[in-house]
Amino acid sequence: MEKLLDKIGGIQLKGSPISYSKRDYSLKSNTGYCDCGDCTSDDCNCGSDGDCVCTDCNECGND
Amino acid sequence: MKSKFNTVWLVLTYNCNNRCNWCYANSNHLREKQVFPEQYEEGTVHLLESLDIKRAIMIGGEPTLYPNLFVFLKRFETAGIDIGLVSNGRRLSDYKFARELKDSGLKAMSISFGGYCSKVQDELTGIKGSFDESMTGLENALSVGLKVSSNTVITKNNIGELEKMVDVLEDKVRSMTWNFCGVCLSEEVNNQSMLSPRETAQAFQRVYDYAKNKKVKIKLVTPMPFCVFDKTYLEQFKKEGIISGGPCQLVHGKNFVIEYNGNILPCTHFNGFPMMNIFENGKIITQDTFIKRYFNPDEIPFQFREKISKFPSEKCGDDSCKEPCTGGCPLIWKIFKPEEVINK
Repeated sequence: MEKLLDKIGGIQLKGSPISYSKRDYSLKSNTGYCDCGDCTSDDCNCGSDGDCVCTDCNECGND
Repeated sequence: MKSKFNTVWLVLTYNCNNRCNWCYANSNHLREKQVFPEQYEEGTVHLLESLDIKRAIMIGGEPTLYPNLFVFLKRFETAGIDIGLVSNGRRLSDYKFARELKDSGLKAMSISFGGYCSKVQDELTGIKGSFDESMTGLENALSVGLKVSSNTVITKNNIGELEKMVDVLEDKVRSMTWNFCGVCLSEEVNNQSMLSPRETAQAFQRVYDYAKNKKVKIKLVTPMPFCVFDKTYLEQFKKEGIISGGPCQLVHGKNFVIEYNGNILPCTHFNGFPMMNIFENGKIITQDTFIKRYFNPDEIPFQFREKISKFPSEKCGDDSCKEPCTGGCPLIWKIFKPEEVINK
């Protein structure tokens, strides 16, 4: 399993670490497209601690 | 307490009745017969239930080739976990099979299409008659009451014909989802059908215009760097919610993949490179053990997330960019150079 860590060394990531405190990743408040059904207006804390559950994955057919 | 997890993809088998050359399941090391052992079904559902997983999506290879599929689906339904299925739809050309899927608790599924007609799709899948079977499968899925979306990987092979796919599927599917032909961590996967992120964005913008005129709902599900889109389109996409944003699941770790052999992958494009395994001594590991291994700073999953949680370019991380894309799927940057894509 260590080879996973070795292998991702080949991915070019030349920027700074992604910090949740420096940018608002809230999809709902920023862009209005959080439709995962998991974030309601009451409990959506997208971006506050990296806790966003919205993946917009409707590959399965579910919205 | 809020769940730490959201979606799990279950690779029931890497076996497939199609031979799409761009597919992550097409590497040589996945060619042997590889099927999820039935003995682990119950324990797996129990583990996912205890982890408060919201949605489990059966994938492959081709998940409808899994011998015990109906029973496994039922187990998830009983546990109250929402289930989905991503399939080429060919086995649903047998009406009874489609009926049984519905009766096993499946409510919605996605059918993958690479082309708009037999000539194109059969060539892409390497199987004569595969398009007709998929279309019949789609009709049968609708007949039995399943909600169906289509799912298409945009590649060099179909880039000129995306509009024709809208024409063929517009009256049948609830929505059409599109994917960037993704990079795999394994070098064994054929990347020759892959377009650049910008080429994919341009193609998607084109099909967006076409689909919008026809009032067809579409979505690009692969996380992309937002700067590859033209600005006017980007604003529209954000407003209408048809592109994915926010940190990729590799970064936040709320979704993961379980392979047929119990390996846990951060994403399907990491086959051959597991973070951990849930099979142990003939059983499934407990919730406590899973959580410990998944979140412990000394273990691989945590170290992986820490290592991958970086912007691809300094241009993403500085104050000039406020977009929530975080540079899109990190795997893009295994093939493409950030300096040639980001903010170009």
